[in-house]
Amino acid sequence: MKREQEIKKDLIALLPRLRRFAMTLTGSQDEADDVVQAACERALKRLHQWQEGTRLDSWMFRIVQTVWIDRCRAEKLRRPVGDLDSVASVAGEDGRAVAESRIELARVRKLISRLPEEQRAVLSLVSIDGCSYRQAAESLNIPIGTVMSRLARARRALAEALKGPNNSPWGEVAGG
Amino acid sequence: MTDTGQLLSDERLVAYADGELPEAEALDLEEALLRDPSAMERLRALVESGEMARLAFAEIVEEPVPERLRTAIMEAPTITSPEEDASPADNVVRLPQRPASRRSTWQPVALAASLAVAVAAGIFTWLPGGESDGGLSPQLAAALSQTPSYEPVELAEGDLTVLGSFRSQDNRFCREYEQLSGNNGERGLACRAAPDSDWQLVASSPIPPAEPAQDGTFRPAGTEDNDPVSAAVERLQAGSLLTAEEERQALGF
Repeated sequence: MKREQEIKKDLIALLPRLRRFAMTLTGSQDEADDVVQAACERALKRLHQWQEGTRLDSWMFRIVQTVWIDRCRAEKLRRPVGDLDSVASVAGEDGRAVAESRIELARVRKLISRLPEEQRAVLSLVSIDGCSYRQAAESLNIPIGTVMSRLARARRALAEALKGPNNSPWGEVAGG
Repeated sequence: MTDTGQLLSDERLVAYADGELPEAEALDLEEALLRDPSAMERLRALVESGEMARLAFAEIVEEPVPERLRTAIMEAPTITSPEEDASPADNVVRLPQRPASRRSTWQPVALAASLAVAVAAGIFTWLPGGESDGGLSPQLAAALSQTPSYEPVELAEGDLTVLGSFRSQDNRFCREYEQLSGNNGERGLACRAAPDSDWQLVASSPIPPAEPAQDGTFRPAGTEDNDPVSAAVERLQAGSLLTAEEERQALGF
């Protein structure tokens, strides 16, 4: 087993990517940071479950997702759903004062936040983080075929929303 | 669906764009693509949506990581052998266990004084303990007026981190914060009616020294039922927490 201090350093180096992954899941930076912190603490208490020589990032992505799912379940008891949407739409309106491209990117984040959770996780790892399909499959503990189908659905839904119903190369019947 | 349709399915187009198709399949797909302009359009749109997703979250990795995350990692306890660990494996999804209430030792200090403040602020419901003078130190008040959530600042009384901001039902701007000094700390909730009015302490509670966390737990901001700060947040909060952008506006940035 690697020395604990080294692993802690590796974890710190991973923080930017973990925060981004969590951000795509939670839709809020504060909540993403809470999730990342909890995931790191959880990982450090289970270091024996990580096999040295396997990818630390894959293992961490998985724990981040697990923590997020745990939280969603706990939150559902307290918080009305739809929070993410309302936050995103407000953020979109605030964009008026900001540059065009920022508005567009805020819109993309909002659209991504509306994708089903399991599609968002795959999109985040592959298209945003740049993971291979194999690594995404290992991180999320799903078959590669499932990575491919979820990714294609996410990318299509996002593409259709960005193009608008009249310019969609899939025809005018938009998927949602 | 025709053979070409399956060959040029969204899934395969995306895999092709991502460089995940074996070379022979990629060549077949390219050939079919040349004869199918509509598939070419789909490919273009699918490439573009992936690129937009990447760009939308590109800035986040460049941002400085909040210090509290580094600190949490450096200070977190580690368990490196199965014997020490009584937790289920990570592929088992569990509800989080709440830490044994760490803040149950709060004591109502000078209840009368905080009652006066709370009444002045228009709160008539159950009242928690608070600071003896009912207000906040000028330094803390200034920090609350200027500091975005999760950006720790050092004050004479200890390190302050604002944990979140929200609007109360009577439209005051409220902020929950945590102030840590050595092994001790305090959580509090303060509200102000307008940008030029004073902060009023609504509730506070001591944070006892951290005990070794139990496995799989995290520190949710304010979830214990018997914590006066959580109770005050629960009672006052209208809508969800402010986004970073909303918070900046409320702070007048």
